[in-house]
Amino acid sequence: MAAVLEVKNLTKVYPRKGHKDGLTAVNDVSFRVNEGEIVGFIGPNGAGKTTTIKMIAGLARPTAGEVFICGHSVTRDRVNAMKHVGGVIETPDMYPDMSGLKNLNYLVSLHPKETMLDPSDERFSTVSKKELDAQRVEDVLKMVGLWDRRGDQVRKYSLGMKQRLGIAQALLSKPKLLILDEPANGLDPAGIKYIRELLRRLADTYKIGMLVSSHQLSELQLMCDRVIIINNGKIIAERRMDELSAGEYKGGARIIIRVDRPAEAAALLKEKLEIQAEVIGEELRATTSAETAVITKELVLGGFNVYGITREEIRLEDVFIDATGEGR
Amino acid sequence: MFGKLYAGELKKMFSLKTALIMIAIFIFGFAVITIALNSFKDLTVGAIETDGPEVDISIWETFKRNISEEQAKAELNVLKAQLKELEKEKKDKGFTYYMGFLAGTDGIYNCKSQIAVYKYIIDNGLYNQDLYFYDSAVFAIGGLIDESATSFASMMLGVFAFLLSVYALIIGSGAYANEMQNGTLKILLLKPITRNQLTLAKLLAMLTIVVAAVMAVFVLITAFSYIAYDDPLDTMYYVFNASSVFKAPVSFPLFLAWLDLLLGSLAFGIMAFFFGTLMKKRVFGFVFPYAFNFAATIASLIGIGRFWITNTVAWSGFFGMGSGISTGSNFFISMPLAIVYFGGMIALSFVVFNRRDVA
Repeated sequence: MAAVLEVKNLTKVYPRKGHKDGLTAVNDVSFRVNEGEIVGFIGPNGAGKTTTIKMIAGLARPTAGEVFICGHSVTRDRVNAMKHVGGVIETPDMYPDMSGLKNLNYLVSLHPKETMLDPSDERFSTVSKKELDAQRVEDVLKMVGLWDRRGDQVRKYSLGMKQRLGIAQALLSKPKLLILDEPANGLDPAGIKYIRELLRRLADTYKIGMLVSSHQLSELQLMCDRVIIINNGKIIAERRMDELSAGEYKGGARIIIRVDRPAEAAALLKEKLEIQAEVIGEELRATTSAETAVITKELVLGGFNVYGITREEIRLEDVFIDATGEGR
Repeated sequence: MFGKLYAGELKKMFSLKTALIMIAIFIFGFAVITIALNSFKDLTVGAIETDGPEVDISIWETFKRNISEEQAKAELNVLKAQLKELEKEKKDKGFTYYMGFLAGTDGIYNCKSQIAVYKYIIDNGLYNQDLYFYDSAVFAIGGLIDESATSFASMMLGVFAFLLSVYALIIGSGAYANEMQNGTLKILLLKPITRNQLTLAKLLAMLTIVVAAVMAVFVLITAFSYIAYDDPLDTMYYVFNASSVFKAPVSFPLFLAWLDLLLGSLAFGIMAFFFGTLMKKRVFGFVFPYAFNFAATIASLIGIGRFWITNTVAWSGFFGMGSGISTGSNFFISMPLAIVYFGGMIALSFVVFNRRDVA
């Protein structure tokens, strides 16, 4: 799979007053985002997330290292790199006195015609930039469900609508890479679901690679293919989401077994399947890679009444807290 | 692509509301000065006691003529010689002639007043009798009017210059600071444009709007002069060529006054643009240009300062129209220096923004 974003040894040092060495906000960070892949970018506050995203977007200059978007360096070939990027950074800001439509009309005009339509297309010479722009603006506004409110001033939009307009704005350029900072911020549950499904659909349909930073870990778990965890300016962990849902993390999934005579059942499981199970009240808890069917069979053959076996997916939250050491 | 960027910046910077407010202030100011200048006309009348009825002389027409002191003096001398010849002819008839209090005084006001009176006497054949010009106050008023009209006109010019500078400050200071405060700069920087292109588009848009505003004021004043005054050209002299209403040669003072307004407004725009970009906050784009201007004024009062810190926006001094702070400054030193200052500010705006981390 082709990488739409390649971050190589990115470092950012901010000068500090009274200190010889600066404050290292981002320290030798490298990762990549492939096309069609949604990558979550998580970390505690002040971990260096936003600084990294700003360097990727070209808002801040890296002290060292380089960022490549579709093979173009952001620092050295900015115009070509930014042809393929859309993003909402920190807050979905727009010109408040203009309508949503006017905002997008202005922003879309800053993209070259080739972005809107492939030059090899037979319509390329006949259709005007203006028509293409108008079509694109209509498309993205309908995509995020703001077409009916297009004439309203942005200052009258709710935070959720601003968030959606921000995403619409990011999609104007038919991007290959989307950079989203807290895209679900301020959205109601229905809005969050809508955005999550929209992003997933965009990634699958148009093969857009996405780097999504968020604190809503449960949402990220539902949406992402992969997460990168950053703390103190360094990448400390990287997990694939399918590993988590298959329970292939730290030696298996967490299983809760409700059974009569739990203590004896625990002894049986240890003897037959080498599972270390813990007795908590009427339940047994264990972390194992063994199939639930196998466990059930053993317990039933051992003469136990099995009331239920629940296989718990590993939550991203646990992985996060585990990796960052927060919350202890 | 750059065209679109520039057009977008123009649209963002130009606010119809601000423009309309400016025009409203302008119209109000112009109405006030129209009424005031017109009321002076009635004041500039003196009276001469003759053998017959008392005669009123209006010196307004002479007063508002745009001639230099030398020209006025020469004209007066011609009139005096003419009157002396006439006096000789009528000497045997004998007449009393009290104009003595004017003799020995000079200056443009008196010259003009005397021209008006002598002309009236010659034209109406009044030299042939006893005359007593009893209303000496008219000459005092004459001087007063001259100064009032001048100061009024220069005040008006000041108001225009101030309005234009404020407008330039509003536009220049907001160019980047607004986008930083709005957060919209983050979106713009994600577009396939370089930072230099963006700065250039903003700068050009700002300069365009300031030039357009100066042009708009020019059009408005011309239109108003023709509507409100019998002699629109003279009015325009009053307003724009304020300090030389009664003094400057008629060469091309209007053009210079325009250049003065234009350069002053552009200078403020550029300073506001630079300080707004440098300090990231709009308020600095407002305060610093005035502070800079003030510092330049102070510096130019002191010795070498008047050469080295140019009279930033008192360009009129260079054109021989103004007095005050620019006196003694040398056009050929100060002008290139000003270009260095403002060119430097433009160049620094590019450099500063290019290296900046946008928060």
